[in-house]
Amino acid sequence: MQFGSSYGDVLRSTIGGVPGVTNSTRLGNPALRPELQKEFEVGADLGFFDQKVDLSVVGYNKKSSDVILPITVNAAATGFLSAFQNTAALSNKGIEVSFNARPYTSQNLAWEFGVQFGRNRGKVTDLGGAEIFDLLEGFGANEAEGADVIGYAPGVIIGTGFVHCGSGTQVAVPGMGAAAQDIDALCSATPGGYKRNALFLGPNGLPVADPAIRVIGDPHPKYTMSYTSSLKILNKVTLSGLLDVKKGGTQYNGTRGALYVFGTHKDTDARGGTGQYGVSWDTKEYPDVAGPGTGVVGLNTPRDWENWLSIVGTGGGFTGPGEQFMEDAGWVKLRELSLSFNVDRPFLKNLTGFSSADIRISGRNLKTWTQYRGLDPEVNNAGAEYLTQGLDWFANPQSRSFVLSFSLNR
Amino acid sequence: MIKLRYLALVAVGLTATSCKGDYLTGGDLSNDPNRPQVATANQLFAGAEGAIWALLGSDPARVTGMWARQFAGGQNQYQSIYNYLYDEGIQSGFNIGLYASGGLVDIVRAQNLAKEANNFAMLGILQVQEGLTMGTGADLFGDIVYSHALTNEANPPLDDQLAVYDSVQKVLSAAIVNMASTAATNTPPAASDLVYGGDTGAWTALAHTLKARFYMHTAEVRGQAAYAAALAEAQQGISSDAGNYFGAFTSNTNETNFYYQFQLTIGRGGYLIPDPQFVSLLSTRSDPRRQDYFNGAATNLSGTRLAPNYPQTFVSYDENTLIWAEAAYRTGDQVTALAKLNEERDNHGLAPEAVAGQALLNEILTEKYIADFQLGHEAWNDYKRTCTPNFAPTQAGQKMPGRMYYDPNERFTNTNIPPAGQGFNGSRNPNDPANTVSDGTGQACLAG
Repeated sequence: MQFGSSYGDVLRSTIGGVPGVTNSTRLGNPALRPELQKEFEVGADLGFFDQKVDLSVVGYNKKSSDVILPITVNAAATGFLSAFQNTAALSNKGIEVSFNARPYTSQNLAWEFGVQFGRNRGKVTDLGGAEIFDLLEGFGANEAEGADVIGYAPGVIIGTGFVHCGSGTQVAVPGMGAAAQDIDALCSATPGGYKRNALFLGPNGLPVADPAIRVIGDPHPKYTMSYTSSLKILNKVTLSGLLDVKKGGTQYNGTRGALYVFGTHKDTDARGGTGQYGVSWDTKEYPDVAGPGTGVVGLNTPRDWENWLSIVGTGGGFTGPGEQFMEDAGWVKLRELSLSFNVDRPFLKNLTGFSSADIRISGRNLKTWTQYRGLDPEVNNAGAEYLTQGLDWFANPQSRSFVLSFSLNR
Repeated sequence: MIKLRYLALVAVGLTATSCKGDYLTGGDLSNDPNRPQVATANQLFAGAEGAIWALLGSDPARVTGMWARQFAGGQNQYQSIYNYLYDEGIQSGFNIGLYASGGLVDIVRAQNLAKEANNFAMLGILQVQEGLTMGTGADLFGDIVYSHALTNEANPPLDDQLAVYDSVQKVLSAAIVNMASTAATNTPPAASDLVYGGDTGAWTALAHTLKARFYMHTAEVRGQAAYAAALAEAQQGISSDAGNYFGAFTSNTNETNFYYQFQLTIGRGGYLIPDPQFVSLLSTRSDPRRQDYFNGAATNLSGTRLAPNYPQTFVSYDENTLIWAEAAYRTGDQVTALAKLNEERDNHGLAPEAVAGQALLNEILTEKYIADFQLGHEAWNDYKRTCTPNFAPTQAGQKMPGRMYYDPNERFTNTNIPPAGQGFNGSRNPNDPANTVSDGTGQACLAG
């Protein structure tokens, strides 16, 4: 066992050759049982109009219980940090729909298209008495980190945020003395009241960090869809396309947070002018503001900007709350477009000895429509082995590619 | 034929085992063969020593040292913390460290072993460890789980900070009684004790100084009674530098002094720098400790204090002497107060002073602020109580943080703990009121 801090300084328990022994941090459990999974699934495969149209629908409700996890336990009560238990439970409900149609098929023209739709709702219902199980995937619980949280889908993002109106928070506010302030009362005192979940602004016009770690984002989409279509003309020319849609889900744009600190993000060009929350700064994440700082321009001079966005401030990454860099990461992507020709004229055979040739030109990831302000909403810092999605930290975007291919058939 | 018979026996043995139907439990299948199943009281004592040195020498000490403005935050996270910008991560694992691995769970286990063996000397020493751990926990976090600790209760209630200090006094009193035992079964830790070599006399003096320390921490609320109690304990406390309690760090990997690691080996150089206001205080007073504490340019600790095996003091003769001086002053005995102040000054080659009245108190408290450097969290604890010397907060209009937030994992598993920033999980414990005036100068208190 070693003692030390999260900065990496350690002292082992055996010092100067004197053997020191300590309790294990994780409690074992000789009574573990197998995990249980119950799934109810209903589906239908339907064909209409002489199989010109087919529809497939699947609905499922999967409940996992007795899930084995090293559950976080209360150290004061137990002397341990975690314990293997059969107590976690979660559910997954969803629907998957697939629709394909071939509305026109003839010798000279064939058109078909398809739509796929999927939605899943996951929910953690029990963590053995704990409220949060930190997956320890991410950038530390002060910025953004993956966790299982009661009432949310597995793998949401926890971190710190700013103080919001209507949250019942009581914290000290810069410029209002050292005592904790009733935030909701201050919000209510704003002329015109406040909108639900409005961002609280202190007298200096700037938001206040809430020290408590909580759920700041859910990377899971509301639904995903894809559209395919293909058109074949004269049995020679084929035009096909694929459009992918992901609706909803938030992503931590840690890249933006870090670049704010370094002063190299495009947004930081604003340092030449002024910045006001709710009006001209961070309006996308925080459209509504309230509190004594309503109408106050918080950022006036380049020094203000530096103090706010750099490492000593709260408006940038590293030390600022992760919540402000959670962005809507829904997207629509033109995933693929391709055009191919088939040539099987006799002259080809006479000239080359090949019976036919295919020429195909295609492009992938041609266009993305998104609100996300990073390079690509479809990245994830963590690999596939991580449960947590929705963390972007200088991750490479998906590549766009163009392919031109010839194939000769003998 | 012989071989066959053995084979038959093996076969019978296999059948017998499989008949029980639980060949997945028992032996090395249930118990990790790579970990010991039992530990001796000596081994647990040694483990707990490491945990205590980390609690008093690692991140919490650096953070409270910055809040007490002896250190400054030079860059990155430390720059934020120095400017009172921090979240629930501030405790860096040391809240759960009070209880888990090397904390209360091991100390109590070792105490039970010592009781079974009628080893009262060992039991007493382990009780001193318990008092130091939990008392420091109350210093850092205010209200903590103590009377309901290790009960396996769901949502254990927290004890009021003052109640924790009272329990700490009780366990330290019990320690002193146990260490005075002359039973033949007494075997103090000896070679396992890298600080005192199992000398129960030295541990007893430490227990008295700790009692004095923790009485002082209650004095802001309890006044005269606490000062009188602290005075009585300081009179029996550590009486020379040889009795100091320290961290016996070595030059071996992962056994070195935390400041050496932080500044030199784990790439955090520049995070923690001397606070200019503290350096200037030392220089103005021509205090020889200026050279002992910091390097010539005042950009880092001195070479001595950055040695890997620097035996960093956590409870000292100087602290005891100055508690004695302050407690004497507060209970109306200025003669003893001055004598004790000068005894401490003499210990550092400083000329005696001849001051009286509030100037004397100011001198005692300022001297203690200087002497408490790197002494666990004492400079910060004293400032919370006395606001002396009356330094300014690093953020105008704000107050120095008076406690750390609880570990979020403790909060998520205990409904009695409010979210950070609310109720007793705020920046100051309700039992520890903020100061309006500085005790030393009578002027308005700036940071506490």
